[in-house]
Amino acid sequence: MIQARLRINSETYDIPIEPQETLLDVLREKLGLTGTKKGCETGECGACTVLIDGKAFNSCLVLAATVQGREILTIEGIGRAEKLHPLQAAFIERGAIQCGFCTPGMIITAKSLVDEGQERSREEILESMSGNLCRCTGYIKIIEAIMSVIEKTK
Amino acid sequence: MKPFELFQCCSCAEAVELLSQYKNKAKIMAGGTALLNQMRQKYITPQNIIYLKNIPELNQIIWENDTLSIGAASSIRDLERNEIIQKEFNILAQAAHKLGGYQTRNLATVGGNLCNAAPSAELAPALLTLGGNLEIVGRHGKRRVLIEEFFLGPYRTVLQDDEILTEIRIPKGEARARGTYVKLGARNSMEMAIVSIAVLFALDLEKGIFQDFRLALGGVAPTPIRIKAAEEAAKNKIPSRDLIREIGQIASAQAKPKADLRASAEYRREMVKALTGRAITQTLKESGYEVEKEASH
Repeated sequence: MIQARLRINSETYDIPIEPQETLLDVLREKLGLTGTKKGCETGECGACTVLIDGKAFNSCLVLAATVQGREILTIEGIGRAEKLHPLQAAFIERGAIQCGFCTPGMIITAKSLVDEGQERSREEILESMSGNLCRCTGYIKIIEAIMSVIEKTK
Repeated sequence: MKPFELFQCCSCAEAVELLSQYKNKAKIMAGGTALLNQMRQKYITPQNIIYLKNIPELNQIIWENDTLSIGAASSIRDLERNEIIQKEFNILAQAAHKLGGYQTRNLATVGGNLCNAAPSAELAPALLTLGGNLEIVGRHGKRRVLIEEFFLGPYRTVLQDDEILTEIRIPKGEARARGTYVKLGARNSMEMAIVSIAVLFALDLEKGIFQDFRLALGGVAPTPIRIKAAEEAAKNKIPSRDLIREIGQIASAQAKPKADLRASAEYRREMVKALTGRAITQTLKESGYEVEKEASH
């Protein structure tokens, strides 16, 4: 048992964890932050994506004990219903959400892209989103939503 | 996953010490993208994990004295985005970009990719053409091996029980050398290569001939391999269509592919032939060279 200190969405959590617990399991099972989804548990679907120090990672492949002291951002931390993050607003506006399961992962990965503050072609966005799978939408609206936000922030 | 003891090391010495102590009851972890999946599928159940990602010198990428030194725990993303690698060793940046997907590249490491030693290890063919060498540290000290000597078989390397890979070193090559890495997979991303081809050469533009031609393949043999026979056939020759075809044929004949769930052996052989040609043609195009139909002598 490790007495871990985790920084999540700018809050500090002191919780006991086991070495083999992934960040995904700690977020969902121990902290009740269920916005981050468990899809494949092999790092192939991206539904579990979180940002760690601004970079997108599959939390199913991260041992929670190894990211103590890093700034972790989950979907719960990027916007609220009263104050949506531009990406969340764009997804809603464009109809980029169907079942919603892939959506947190999509938004979190897209946020890391947007925050880089660079101009991105459609191809580059597609490549950067290559680790996030969607079974419902066919991706078109998702990419449009992300492009619209990158356009606005460049 | 089954419980294990986790050791987050601050130094190579500490890691080697622990590895010497636990030997085959321990596994090294830097990124963990391959390791955790293998553990989840119960292929392996290490009781101890020796975590290297926090060791500072294993995360540095240094360009000094015309030599590139890459810490083994450097992430694939760090390689992909490194300005020196993009400029001087572009084929390595190309290969890094093809590994996995966006998130996996942030987590996976160059050392992990090499030490996992899949026959299609993403970075191996490019490193084979670049002529890299590896620093290995164990209980008895340091040693260096050429990347060509590192792989022994599928998922097997020369690393002993108590050894860790610490550094990948690449000397600056021929200034005008250009290369292309081609990866064949069923998808555009998130795939292991069915076959992969790395081709690297410089052109003597005056004489219009290949200089120092290097060719390496992944996914077509027990380990990633350099095709010296093809390299010999190309050296000092004019890059004609016939020669390119010949190089593809030699590469295809030298490959020893096996059938697996991704592709048959025959398909792999055919793809080696076609994609080697494509990689060479692409590199020639980028070198500003027009390919002749026939060799002129």
